[in-house]
Amino acid sequence: MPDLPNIRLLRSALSGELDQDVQTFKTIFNSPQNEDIIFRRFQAAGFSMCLIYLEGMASANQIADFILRATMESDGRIPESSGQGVQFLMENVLNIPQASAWETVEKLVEGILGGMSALLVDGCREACLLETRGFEKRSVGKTQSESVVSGSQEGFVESLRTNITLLRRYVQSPQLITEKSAVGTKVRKDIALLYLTGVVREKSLEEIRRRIQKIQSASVQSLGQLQQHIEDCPFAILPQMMLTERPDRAASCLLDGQIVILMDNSPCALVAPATVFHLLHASDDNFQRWQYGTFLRLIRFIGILFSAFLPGFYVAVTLFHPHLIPTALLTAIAESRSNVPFTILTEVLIMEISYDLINEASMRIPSQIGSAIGIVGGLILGQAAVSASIISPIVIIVIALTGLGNFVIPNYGFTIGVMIYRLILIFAGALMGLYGLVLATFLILCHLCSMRSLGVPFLSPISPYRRHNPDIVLRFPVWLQKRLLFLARHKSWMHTEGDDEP
Amino acid sequence: MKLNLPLRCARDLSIVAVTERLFSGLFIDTPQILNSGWISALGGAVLCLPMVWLGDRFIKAHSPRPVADSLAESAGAGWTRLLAAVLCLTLLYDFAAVMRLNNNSASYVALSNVSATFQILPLVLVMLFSAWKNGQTAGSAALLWMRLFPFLFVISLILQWTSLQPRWLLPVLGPGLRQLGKGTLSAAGWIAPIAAAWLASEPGKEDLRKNLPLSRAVFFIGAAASVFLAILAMMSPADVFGNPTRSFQFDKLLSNGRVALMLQLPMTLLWFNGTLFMLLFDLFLSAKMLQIVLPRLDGRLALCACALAGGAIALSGWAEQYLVQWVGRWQYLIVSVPFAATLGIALIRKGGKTA
Repeated sequence: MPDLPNIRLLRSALSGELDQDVQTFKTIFNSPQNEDIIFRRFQAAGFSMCLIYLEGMASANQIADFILRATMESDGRIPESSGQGVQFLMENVLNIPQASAWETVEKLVEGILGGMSALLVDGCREACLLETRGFEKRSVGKTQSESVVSGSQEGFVESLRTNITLLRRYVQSPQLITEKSAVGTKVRKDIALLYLTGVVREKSLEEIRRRIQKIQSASVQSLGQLQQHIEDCPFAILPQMMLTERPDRAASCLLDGQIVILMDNSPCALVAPATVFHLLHASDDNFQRWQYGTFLRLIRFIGILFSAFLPGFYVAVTLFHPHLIPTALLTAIAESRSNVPFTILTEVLIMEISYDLINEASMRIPSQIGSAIGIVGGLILGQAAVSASIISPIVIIVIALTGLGNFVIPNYGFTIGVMIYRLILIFAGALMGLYGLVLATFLILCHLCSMRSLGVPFLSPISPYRRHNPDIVLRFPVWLQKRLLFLARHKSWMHTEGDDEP
Repeated sequence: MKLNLPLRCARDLSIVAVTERLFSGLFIDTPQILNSGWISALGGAVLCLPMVWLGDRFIKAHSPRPVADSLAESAGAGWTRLLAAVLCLTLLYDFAAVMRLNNNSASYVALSNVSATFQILPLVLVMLFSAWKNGQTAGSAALLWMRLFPFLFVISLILQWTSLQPRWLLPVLGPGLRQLGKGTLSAAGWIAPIAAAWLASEPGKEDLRKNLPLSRAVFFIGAAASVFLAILAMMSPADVFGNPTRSFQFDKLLSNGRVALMLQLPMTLLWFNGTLFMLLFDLFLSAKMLQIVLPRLDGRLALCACALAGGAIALSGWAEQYLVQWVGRWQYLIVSVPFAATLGIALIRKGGKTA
């Protein structure tokens, strides 16, 4: 397999000869063909120097004010034994808050690609890597897919630094550790692992480090891709880690002993380990009073049941168990279907696919013509299809309720998973009625019970049982929730007086 | 792949599956005991308690090692394999019998025009896939069902509340002592396969703190089945002249002639889910017993072999109601005698070694 271009140069160390080292960097960055890379040579403190940076990634103002001016106007002279030149500059001349010295070309290249500037000094085998990042980035705004009524409205952005800062504002503790590394063997992407030391389980931490190190992919461009590389059951339908856009959600997971992974250019956080209940809970459940939180959670669970089972149940009951339907309703169904040429299964599938198409189209459609979807979906597909006797009105009601149930699911990955399960249940109901539904549900249940997230059973703490706060199905008052989540380490410093061991 | 079953999973799976087996066996396949099935359920549990208590004491003395390993060391590999073979065959037959029962239920509820083969085939595949995930999955699924079951049960109870008549429990010894005795023996026979869960279980360190887990499970099984049967008995009077076929009994179970048909839904769900757990229990444990008999056999191969064998027996005439009733009466002896013999030998050999 071909290696990275100029791999030998990348793995080399600086020679100390400025011309030679500058040529090395020009070769690696394909200069002058690549016009983004800037080589600024100048004289300062009695020596020849060269500043290397990427235009647009590094801040020109910082470079001008804190590096060029600082070095050129400095009174100091680098000692004759110029092996100490870089250290001298960092300690006495440069005004940049973050600076470090490196010998290896690879490290310097990584820094330049990330927006830092490398300062090479003639005669010096080390170069200075200076924090000069100044690229354009989106400011912190509202979340796109996890809106809440009450609570924080901030969402993660594409900048890794900003996202880490957001989390640090929520979890102001010296025990919050940020471990930085990178993924991708050919094109590296910066990631950060955040956790509360003393609260997170060492076993989970080691496992996630091991899985990240094991990734052999040439590049990993998003947290979604990273998730697919490190999850326990890649063929499962439901996600086993939680992707969230909300810093407050991620912060609460940190406090529970979970690990948060952030990635540069990904406006979300990946949380692991995660159980199915993490995917079902919304972040504003805890902001509300317990009565409202419990009520809304129950509504959400009913919505999820509708979303998963209603179409399959409708098909099963109308095809195999009409005696279970009250006579008046049965008559109404029969009358409404009298002119429909298709079977019930075909009707439901037509509406189901149409609904999925409308869903997908509404996400892709430009906002200027977004309202057209409402007209197309509501009027044309709904009303016109009924008038043309393609489908019966009751199927529209079933699919509408199903769709509403779908929208109450807080996690997008979970929503898609439920949609897939719904199709399976529709076919099971059509093949064998309630018996088929029960068989399919049993299969899904066993599958969920076998799933793991970083080794933690997916349906815990319900099954297998772990002692937990009364906050899984019903949301009881916060003063009753004294127990730390079972995912946290035993005897961690977050445990409080009323908290028994998990 | 080695099939394994942690002790707490064995307990949970046993509670769900054996309760349902006891209930279905007494209500569907033993109509002769009329409305006194609840007494037989209690009696069966009492008969099985000594056997299970001995098993629990054995676990306590040898944990946290797997029971099969401890038994092989104490009683010898030969006796352990013999016990495992007996349990394997018993569970295989039970697997076939419950599949047939499930098949009859499905035909009654909706699929009367579908052949038995096409009803049983998806069932075998679902069970195979579920058992494939190993014992922890089965135990977790059973625990989850234990939490969901009360809600459905309460709903069906509320729907039929007005039909309940305690006087239909009388006379308590309605079918006569002889029938009750047979029923009790059958009940004990349907509880006895919990010995397989005992043999397959692997106690962990956390299980050391628990006292007599399987004995408590048997107690719960007897009590729960007894309550369900008593409630069902209160829903319709004893029918001494009825045709005691499975279809007739299903009819009684689901509608008792008093409840609107549309209210059958919770009961249907409870029934079908219960039978699926019975099947999972039988298939997984029969495969595990086979693996104990043939230690080098891969777990997946054992599961496939048992699933196919069970399916074949179910499709033959060997799992019909009258045969299941007959075998049920002998099942307690078939299981308890080798069980007691093996444990006795373990005790004697240990005593010999000590001496």
